[in-house]
Amino acid sequence: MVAATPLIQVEGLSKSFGPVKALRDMQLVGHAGKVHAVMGENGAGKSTLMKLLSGVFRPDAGTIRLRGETVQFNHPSDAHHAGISTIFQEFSLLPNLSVAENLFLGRTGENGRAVGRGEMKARTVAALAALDLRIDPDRRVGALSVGQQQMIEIAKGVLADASVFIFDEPTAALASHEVQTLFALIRRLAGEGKVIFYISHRLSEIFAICDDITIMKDGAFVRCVPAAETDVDEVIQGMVGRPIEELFEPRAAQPGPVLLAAKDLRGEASPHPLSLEIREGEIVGIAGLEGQGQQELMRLLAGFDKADGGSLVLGGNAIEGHSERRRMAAGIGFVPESRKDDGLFLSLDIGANMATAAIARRGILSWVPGMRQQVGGIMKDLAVKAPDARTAVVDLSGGNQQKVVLGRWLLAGARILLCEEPTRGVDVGAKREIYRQLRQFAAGGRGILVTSRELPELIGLCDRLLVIRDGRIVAEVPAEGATESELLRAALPAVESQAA
Amino acid sequence: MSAASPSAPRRLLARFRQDAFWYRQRGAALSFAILALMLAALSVIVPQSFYSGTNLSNLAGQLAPLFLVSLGQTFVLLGAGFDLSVGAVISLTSAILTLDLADPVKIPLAFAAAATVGLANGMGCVYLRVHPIIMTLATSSIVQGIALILLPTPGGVAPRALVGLASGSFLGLPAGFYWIVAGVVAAIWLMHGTGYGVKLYATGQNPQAAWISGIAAPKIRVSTYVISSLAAALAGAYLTGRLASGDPNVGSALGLDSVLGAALGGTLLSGGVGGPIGTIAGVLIIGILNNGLNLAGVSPYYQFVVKGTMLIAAVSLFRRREAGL
Repeated sequence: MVAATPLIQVEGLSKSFGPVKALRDMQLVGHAGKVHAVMGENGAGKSTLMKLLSGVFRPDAGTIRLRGETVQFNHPSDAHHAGISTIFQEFSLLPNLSVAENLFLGRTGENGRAVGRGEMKARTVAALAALDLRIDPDRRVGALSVGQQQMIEIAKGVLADASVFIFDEPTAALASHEVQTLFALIRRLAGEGKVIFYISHRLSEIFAICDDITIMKDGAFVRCVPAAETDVDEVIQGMVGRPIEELFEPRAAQPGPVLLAAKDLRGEASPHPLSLEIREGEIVGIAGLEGQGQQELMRLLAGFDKADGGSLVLGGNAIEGHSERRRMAAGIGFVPESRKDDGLFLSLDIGANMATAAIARRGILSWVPGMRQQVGGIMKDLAVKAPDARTAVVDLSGGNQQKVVLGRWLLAGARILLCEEPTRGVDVGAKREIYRQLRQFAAGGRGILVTSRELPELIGLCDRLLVIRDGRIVAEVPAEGATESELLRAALPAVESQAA
Repeated sequence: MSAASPSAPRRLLARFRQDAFWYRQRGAALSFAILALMLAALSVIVPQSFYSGTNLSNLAGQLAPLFLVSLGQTFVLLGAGFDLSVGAVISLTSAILTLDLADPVKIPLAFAAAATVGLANGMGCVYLRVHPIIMTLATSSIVQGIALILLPTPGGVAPRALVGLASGSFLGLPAGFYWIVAGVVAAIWLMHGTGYGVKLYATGQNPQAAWISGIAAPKIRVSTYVISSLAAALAGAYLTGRLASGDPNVGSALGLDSVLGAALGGTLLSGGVGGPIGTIAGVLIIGILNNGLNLAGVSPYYQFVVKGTMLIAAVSLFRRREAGL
């Protein structure tokens, strides 16, 4: 046990964005010389915690103590001065500035004046040399490799003589030899008595380099354990283990014949051949960590990305060469993740928003007969809460907006719905309503492919689940009886390599 | 670094490509090349009239206001902003400087008014998040209105000190030349001789990343509008002194020309790349083109067509070839 006061201690830290509680009563303790992993599912609040520690956000409540003294960060530079250095996943470097200029950005010399050009270069060379790096200080950062840029970020912390380093998914963009360099560096920093917070999904990395593990879930602290006293199973259990509310509709009894079949489909953004089938009445879910190719797959099926090979058959007709407009006409509907940016015309009324897909199939001046009655009927079916079809969509709640997008594809007669994150930004009650509508949509002899960051949602909503990792579909399981840990196991690259 | 060492010029070129300073000044290099070509062409087409002492001296006198506002505009563009109000600020300065007030009162008043306009522009764009074009177009209308209220028709008496500073010549060189040199030296010093320049480059490239790096990015952006307005006030003071009286419309043509001068000098309208060095070339290209076309007897109306075409050419030529990190 370490008896000394921790170098950094976080207590009761909370942060809300509007009605969403991103972080609740969080605690975190970092001891000098230790590498400390922070783990949690997507959206568990890791990034929020890190941004509070680095002064990007201000906490609503709670304290951060450095060497026993309470500190308050109103600006990122306050955190810099206190000795906390953060290596963001999306680097905060400026590509149009040189290495030296980046390192000395926002810094002043001991006398409070700007550091001179000559001194800046000399100290840059020295700081880089301390990390065994040989990069010309005049070089433009935009011309460096991702790995080198990350080293520059770390050098920034070394130069500032930081005592706490926070790494956010540091290996996401690195080649394997660069990962080794990074690990060596992290060990060295720990050896010099620094605290290192290491945020990553990659379990093998966590167990390779970390001393302690803090697990968080739904924006709250779960537990903190020494890495040596736990294992992969326990960590995953801590990240998951939540009661699944009874929000979902009963599954399809017996799916019908195959409606959409993709075989070895490839595109520019998704080079690995992808095969999948969706049957009538079926909801198929795509599970995976963030950015594993879910979006690319959806956009490839929708036709926004051109297919380079393979076949796509909808109800017996090959459509792989068709443009996105002709696919929509053939019956593929697409519900984008960002409803407000890509899905809806907020200033238009419900009727116009629902009619767009149906109108788009016709000539510019053609008239759609009976449109008003059809829109009214769909509004009633979907229970859209609005006085009439002339209500502007901007005034609707998130759940009702989502219904308008659904109604658009019902009106256009879509048979397959590609649905990204159907319940993003809607409250629990509306979630339940959306699940019901999706199930109803599928029950009419149609099929749905859905992506979601929330595993419980996928398990509850879908009939069948595909797990995607690194652009490949690596597992297929029936949703009935599927568990989060089973899915996470398939979705996490590290577990497999450990088992091997 | 590579085993087979490439030829010396090639190595030098590769070095320049990777060097941050040269990356930000590459547009300027191109502008100076274009300028050199134009000067060479003029020495063939109209050698006597262009390179005469009188013509060059006139040119310096005419170009001084454009130099000052373009240099100011360069700072705003580097911060990814846009200032359309500079023309109106010039006119306002001219109106205030010819008011019936004592010189020690109205000269500081003119500059304080300009600084206020700049501060309002900056606060509106940065804190109220009004789009820079709308914000500065709106203040431009207000400021132009005030100028016309103060001085409905050209007239009034300019401060004597300004008349002395803006007309005549010193050591054989016209007064405008000294205003240009002072403006250029001040702009280059601020941009490349102080820490302000690096902060501005960072802010214009990515305000969020700059803020995370500990830079007060919003304040930097506001400051660019103040610099631009003060530069416009200097241009207004010069014009008033040169004319020896006021004119409430004297700046109207200079608003867009200031953007043209900066853009032709290789400063990107998206911010973060370019600088006052290139603006020197940009302004000279505009001035020499107008002057050359005049000397060659081309109608001034064609000059508008040429200027517009050049702006499109410049913006497409200096377009960012790569995006972000």
